Amino acid sequence: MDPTGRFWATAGAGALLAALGVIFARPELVVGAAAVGAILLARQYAFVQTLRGLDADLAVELVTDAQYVRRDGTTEVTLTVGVPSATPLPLAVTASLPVIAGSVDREARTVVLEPGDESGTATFELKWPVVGRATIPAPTVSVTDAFGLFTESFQRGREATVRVEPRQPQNVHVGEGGDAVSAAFGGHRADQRGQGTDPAELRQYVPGDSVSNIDWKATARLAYPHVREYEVETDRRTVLVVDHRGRLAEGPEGETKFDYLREVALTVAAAADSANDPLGLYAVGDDGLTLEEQPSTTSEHYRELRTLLHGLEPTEGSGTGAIATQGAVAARRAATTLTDDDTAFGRTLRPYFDRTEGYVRRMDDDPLFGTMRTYVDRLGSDHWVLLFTDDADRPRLRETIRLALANGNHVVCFLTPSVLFERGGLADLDDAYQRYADFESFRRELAALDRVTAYEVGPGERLSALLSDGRRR
Amino acid sequence: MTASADSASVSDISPSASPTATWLALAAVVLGHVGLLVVFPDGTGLVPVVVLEGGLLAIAAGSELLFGGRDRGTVGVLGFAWLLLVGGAVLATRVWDPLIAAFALVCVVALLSYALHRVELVALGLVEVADERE
Repeated sequence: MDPTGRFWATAGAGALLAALGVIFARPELVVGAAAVGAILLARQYAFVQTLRGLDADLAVELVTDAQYVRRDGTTEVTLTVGVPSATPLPLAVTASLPVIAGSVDREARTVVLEPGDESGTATFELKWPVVGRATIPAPTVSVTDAFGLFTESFQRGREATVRVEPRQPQNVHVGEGGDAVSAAFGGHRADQRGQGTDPAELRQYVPGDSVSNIDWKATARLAYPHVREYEVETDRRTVLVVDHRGRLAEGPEGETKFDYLREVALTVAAAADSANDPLGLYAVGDDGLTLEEQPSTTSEHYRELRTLLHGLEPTEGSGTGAIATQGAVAARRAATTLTDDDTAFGRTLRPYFDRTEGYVRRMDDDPLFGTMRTYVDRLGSDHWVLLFTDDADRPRLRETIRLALANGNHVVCFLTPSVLFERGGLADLDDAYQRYADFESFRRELAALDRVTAYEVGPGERLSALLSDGRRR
Repeated sequence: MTASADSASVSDISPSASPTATWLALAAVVLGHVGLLVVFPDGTGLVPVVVLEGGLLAIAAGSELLFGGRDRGTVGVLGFAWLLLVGGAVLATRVWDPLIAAFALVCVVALLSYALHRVELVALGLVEVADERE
């Protein structure tokens, strides 16, 4: 209970009477002070009693229309206050805001009930610009007595919790024909026997085997010298070819085709890091190659690749690449040098270095195909080429994969079906299912190629919804 | 993770009684006792004081009934408090020095007020239990 200015003015008047009574030695004024004290006590008692009754009758409810929201999303919050027997005192109920929520005018989130009112509601929209878990505290009830001498504030109702999630792909599906698969990266079996850590088989000793390979326990048990062999593990030289052309920006903000592909690429990069597989990265924008990182196994390299992947964004048609790499910097330096070079050599080369900003190399042809032909092809054989793109240009993609296979490489293709990302793509489920079936037949066609594995990548919920509807039909 | 600064909303509400109603009883008490001094400059007997206090109690009770929610219980408490404090003050000033009587009066009012404050905190569940605080 907090005294107000009116209370202190009244108490001050009583104190003044008492003081004057003492100063002038007039007991009547002291008696007057006692009368003021009686008025204050009676009003305080009345406030306490009324407040107890009101609290027993008061119902406060705070409801949000969603417990999960994406960053920058909004939730509708409804504050309902009810006093079935009508409130005897003026009261205000205010919803407080978590720190990570956007601001809302206090009037908009306050319900004010005048004496005699039975209920009131306030509805307001709350924006969530920061990711995290937020608790909307229980609303604060503020009451004042009839004469404005006292106020009281206390919390009633329940708090509400809202989880704000980042705008990034949720439930990333990687699979085949709607069935999720878990791709294995890391220690890779070579189907060879020799030195290693995983036991493979036990066989009889033959002349020529090293004595150090004899398994003495098995020899004692089997009464003949036996040799234990181990699974030979190999490093898988892996190259990520990431398509970040403009068309991969299709989809809701934070959940575009490219966002899903990037999640998979980051997972692959982390797996390669833990398995110590040499990992390279080539990123392809609309006008050519934007990143070139040769395979390497240093920890700084893996970290750098992850940073580069995080920084990649879909390019715009004739714009610049998202990230200038060492190669792009070198290309710009060369272009600058050639600007001042008036020799025949300089004049001949200059056109090839024009407009190279942000790109390691511009390509007039299909940049993905050009990258595969110019860069990946020269890496040598026995690489695992992981291609991240969509299904928009199927004939060209087919050629690109065939080219990647040329040196005996293996190709793992991660494709985003366009139908899962188009705005209103699932509005006509019949048509959407047909398009997905078309995509699936294309994926199978690719997967049927020797040394090619093809996976679909996309939002799991949308794909499940599409497939369940298709199966029901 | 909550914002605490903006939770109070007392400014959104105003008392149901007007300021005039709030000050009515107080003004009557002050003016009545000052008037008593003017009418009886050499001191008063018990009867004028009782008559005056009875009249002031009637004004205060009427003010409570008119503007304070028509609660007879409050009027009863007012009468009891009036009897206790005013009667006690009359007796105290006749027995003790006015200074001691005034001091005793202030102490009694403060103690009763604080007791009501604690009762309210307990009734609304706003008191922290010592074990929980630790």
